[in-house]
Amino acid sequence: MVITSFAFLIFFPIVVLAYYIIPGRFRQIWLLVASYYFYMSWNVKYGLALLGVTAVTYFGAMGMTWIDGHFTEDRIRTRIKKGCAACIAAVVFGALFCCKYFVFVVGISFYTFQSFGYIMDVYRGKTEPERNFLRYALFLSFFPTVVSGPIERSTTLLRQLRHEKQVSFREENVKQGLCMMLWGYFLKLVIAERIAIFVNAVYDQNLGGVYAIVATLLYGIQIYCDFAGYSAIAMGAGRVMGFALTENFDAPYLAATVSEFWRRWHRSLAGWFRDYLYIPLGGNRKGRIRKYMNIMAVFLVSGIWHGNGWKYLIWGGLNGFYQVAGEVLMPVRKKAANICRLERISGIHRILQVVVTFVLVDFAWLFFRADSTGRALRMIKGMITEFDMSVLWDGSLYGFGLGRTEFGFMLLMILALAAVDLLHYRRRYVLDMMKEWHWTVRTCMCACMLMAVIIFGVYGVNYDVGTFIYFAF
Amino acid sequence: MMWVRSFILHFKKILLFAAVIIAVTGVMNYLYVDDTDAFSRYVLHEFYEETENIDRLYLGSSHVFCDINPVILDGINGDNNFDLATSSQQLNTSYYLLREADKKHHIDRVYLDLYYYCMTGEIGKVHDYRTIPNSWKVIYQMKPSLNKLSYMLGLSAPEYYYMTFLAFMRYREELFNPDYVARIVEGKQSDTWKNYEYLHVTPGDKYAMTNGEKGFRVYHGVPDPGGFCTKNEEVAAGDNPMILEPESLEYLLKIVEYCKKHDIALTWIGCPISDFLLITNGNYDCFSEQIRELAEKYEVPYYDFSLCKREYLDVSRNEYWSDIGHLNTDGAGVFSPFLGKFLLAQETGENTYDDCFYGSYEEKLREMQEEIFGLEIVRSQEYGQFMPDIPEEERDGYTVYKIRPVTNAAEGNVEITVKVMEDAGGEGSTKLPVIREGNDAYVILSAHEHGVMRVEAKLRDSAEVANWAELEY
Repeated sequence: MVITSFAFLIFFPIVVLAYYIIPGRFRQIWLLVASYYFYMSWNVKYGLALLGVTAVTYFGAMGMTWIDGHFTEDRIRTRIKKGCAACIAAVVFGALFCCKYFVFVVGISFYTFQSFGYIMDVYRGKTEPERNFLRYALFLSFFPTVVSGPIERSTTLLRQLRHEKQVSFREENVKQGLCMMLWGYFLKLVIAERIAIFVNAVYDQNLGGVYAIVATLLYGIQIYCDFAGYSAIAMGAGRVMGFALTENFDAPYLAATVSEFWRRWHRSLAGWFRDYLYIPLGGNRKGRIRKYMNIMAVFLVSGIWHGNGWKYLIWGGLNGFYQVAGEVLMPVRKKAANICRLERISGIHRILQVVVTFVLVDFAWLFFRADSTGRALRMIKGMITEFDMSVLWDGSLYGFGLGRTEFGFMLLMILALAAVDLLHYRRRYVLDMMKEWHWTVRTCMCACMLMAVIIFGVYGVNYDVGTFIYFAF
Repeated sequence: MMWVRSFILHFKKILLFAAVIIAVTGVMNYLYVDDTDAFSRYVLHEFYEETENIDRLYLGSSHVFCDINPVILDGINGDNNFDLATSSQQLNTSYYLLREADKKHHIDRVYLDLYYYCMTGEIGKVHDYRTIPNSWKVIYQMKPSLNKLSYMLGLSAPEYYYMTFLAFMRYREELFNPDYVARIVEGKQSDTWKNYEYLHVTPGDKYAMTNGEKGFRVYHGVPDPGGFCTKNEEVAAGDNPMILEPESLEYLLKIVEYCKKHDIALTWIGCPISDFLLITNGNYDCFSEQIRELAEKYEVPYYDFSLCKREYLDVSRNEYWSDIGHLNTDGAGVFSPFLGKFLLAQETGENTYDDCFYGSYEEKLREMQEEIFGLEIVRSQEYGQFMPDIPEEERDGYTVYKIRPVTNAAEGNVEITVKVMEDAGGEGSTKLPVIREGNDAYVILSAHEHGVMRVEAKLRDSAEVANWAELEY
């Protein structure tokens, strides 16, 4: 069941209504049933994979508690627990590897990471193992997050589930949640799907020159709106039911460096890599060279996590390289900025940094989007050899599924998104701002937003609405 | 009293929200929904405006509003007759329109026109996405009611609801087309649209289609003077096996059940269809037989006026038809009085059926004198067998015209002459050689030569040309 489908629009209100109507003690069971139904609507067999990962990590965590209670000597206990964690890792990531490379299972990358994060938290004593199997199963299968995250932690979602009985119906939660969902649908259906028409046409035809440049620039926006859209819908759905899920995006394209970008993009995954890979590898505590190696390792693994094929590895490697190069060249960059007196006019310097970061990240996205590394390289070559600026104004850009007016509309929507992100960047949230408005303005605004999604959204029977890009990972 | 204030505020918010949605939908419908040329708009408006009780209701496709003039019938049976017919009306539409009419009027008798085209083949599948636009046109003109809601919900699979409930969504391909919007708005600014009048002007036609009274359409147009002729690129006839679609049958039986339950006398009728169309479509007796069996089984009177003997109803003359399927207003002037008197006679127990009708269409063709009903000219490049001397790769340079006289004449009893016109007046002409195959004829022309060709057909024993057609090649 795709969350942009008609089925979800029926499923979600039923789940929410029943959730608030039934007595508190049955709510988690209801959510668990609904979540498994949601997940298994893709394929009934997927439920087995989810149940398997749930069982392995649940009993693994329980096993570690048993070890804690039965081995008093620290050294031996740590060793056995380490071995236990390693075994669980082998099973979970082995399953992930098999499902990723042999039998694709939607969402497995997300919930295996979430489950292993839980194991690590138990191992480190950051969280108590969850004794209630059903609650733990819900933690992993919670329907807004099971397919594409955010990758929740035991300290966030599981903690809320443990205290869920205190959650009662709050109108504010429902209103805010629905607004978040609406914003998510706007990002996905109005912007991402519209950009996809153009990008797919250009990439499918392997065009070079300005076409490829424009399509690649737009792809950066598309993947952002696609994934941030899903995350907003997931967060909103969670909020409607009183859960606060991790915010996955924080105006990433306003980042001034690639490192900052990765603190703002897919934060739940970046945070997972930081806590469970980068820091265990030594982080920045073991000298510069080791730090750079750790960064590269994290991003190469991130590339592998996204899929098989060199293109993902190159994409991850490029992002790692940008950060390493950025640090290595820091003194040079500072000097250059001083010479150009850019520090004095910090606004322009900042804009320049944002633009350069966007271009670098976007260049890496080219590998991510292209069908193969070979095609990506051919497109890069074509960008240079077939470069012709006149394409921008001779109207030929409008021959890829979007006419002149629709193309202009798309750019306008991107500008609107930039404005919202700018507010977000400055910690001014539209949802909070709306609270200060008169109820008539707020109501009209929500109704118009809903109609904008309905009218301008790219969906329905005449369109091949692709599933979310991150469903594939 | 806090809860009362809170309730009122919530109610006001919901009301405002709904008002904005309705207002935006209204504006979008006005801008995008193209009903500027929709006869159904006039019919439904006339129906809702009808203050006098409708006693006799005529349901069905365009044949009803073209062939049956309720004003003539009023004079014959003394009741209030009304055509609630729409173009290509499928049986689900007939069913819901019947319910709509029965809500407002005390209907005594319902006459349901059973046109094979709307009950068999693709269009007989009333829930198929390819045919639901026919229903949408009617739904859009219906007033809000539970009956309408039920019609909308039952019309299609849920993924089409957005187009069923939001009419403007059907025109989404025009969303960014200002020229389209300008045309629609211009159409809706006209007095005819504002006053719910129907006016359709076909370029080059000296007659306009206008609304008559009580759902009748006035049109005095006639076919080309040479008689019925179709000019197709490829053979299209014979695709429809004339088997009643189960979805249509379901609604046919629903109508029967509804009428029984509400004490409405139901009669199935078949408006006269030209012999030209019946022969070219083929299998008419197969359809007719199915309806006859159902009529017997469910005890519904069924009168198929296509099987009527000419001595009782003669609408065979060219000037009674507007096209191969429909009578024009003059033809309706012949058919309606006969229909009115015939139905009245049956109702009063005078059984004149056997006198007036043939038992089958085959019998009708057999009993009638030999006649040519029209010409079917099919252009093709597939007839390699006629060009054995020309190498296959050169055959593209030729065009083969198949000329098929639509007739009940025995093989070899039709003569076909093909001439190339040398001037517009038709004075100077060159006779072309034709290849005969039964009554059919083939003529081969160079694809590089262009001009006007005149095809004439006559019965062998007749001195006069029965049908002729001119064709640009």
